[in-house]
Amino acid sequence: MQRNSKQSVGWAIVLILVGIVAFFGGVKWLIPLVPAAMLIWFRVGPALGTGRN
Amino acid sequence: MSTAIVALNNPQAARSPAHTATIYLKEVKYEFLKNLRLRMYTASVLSFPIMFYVLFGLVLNANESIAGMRVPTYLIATYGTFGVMGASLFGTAAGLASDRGLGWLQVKRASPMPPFAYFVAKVITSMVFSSIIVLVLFALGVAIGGVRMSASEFTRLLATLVAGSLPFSAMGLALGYFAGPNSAPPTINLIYLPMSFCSGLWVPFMFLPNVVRQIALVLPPYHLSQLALGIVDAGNHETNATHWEVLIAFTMICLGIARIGFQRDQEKMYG
Repeated sequence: MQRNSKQSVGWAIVLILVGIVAFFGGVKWLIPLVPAAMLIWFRVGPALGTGRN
Repeated sequence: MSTAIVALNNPQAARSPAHTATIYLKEVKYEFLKNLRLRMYTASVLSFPIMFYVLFGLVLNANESIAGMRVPTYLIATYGTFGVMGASLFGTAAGLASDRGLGWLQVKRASPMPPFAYFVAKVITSMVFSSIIVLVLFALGVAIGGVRMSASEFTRLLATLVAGSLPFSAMGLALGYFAGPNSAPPTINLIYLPMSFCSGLWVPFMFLPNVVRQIALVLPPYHLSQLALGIVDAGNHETNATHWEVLIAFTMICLGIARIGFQRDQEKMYG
């Protein structure tokens, strides 16, 4: 697997773990976790691009 | 200087925000038209919740009550949730699996369209179909079922159900990347129908066996239906924040899984 792909999958797993913590952690955990999830999502976002689009 | 030399020297041409927005809107428009013209998709996604609502809410139990609320009003919330789930799951999962199987994703990646526009179009199209389902249920409830709600209650219920389609669209993206084009519809049904039953969308929650009620607490349709039922004053009186928390967490988990599926596809396609 290429390095970029491994990084992207790694961040995706982090996103899943953030979701699991949000699920069990309760409402108070949403305040830090939602921005964290958005940062993670946009952090891996450039991998969606071809560099041309 | 020829056009080819200009293009080679400038591989990433700048695109204005207005141009990008136009591309996104066109993708949404054509995705919506594509789904609208698929008669089986439109018929099944629209007709199931409406048919169940007419049968159980307007014909059989029009004069009964559940949780102190008339059945036609109660069932708008639950069958609205059911309809939103179906529109989101079939709109994203089945469409994505089919496009992967047909090779459409490679065609779209080769085009100048931003890749993210494809996913945004699927999600927004699901939201549009969800809105149509909820509005038809409203219309039937008001015209035939004697449902009476204030304009603000209608608006909040519609907004809640349409916003609640996002977790199911995320789930659909995850399913679409792991299911094949032929196995996607049965896989979706295998998840969608039991989840709907266990969440109290068909049989009211208070009539479900105790074990099933425990299972419902971890299911997103239960939480969305409780948000909707809370608006019509027929919910379990749990806090809205708890329900939104579960839906947001579920969305994060499904987007992560979808991301892994996307990366797996990229590896297969481009090595």
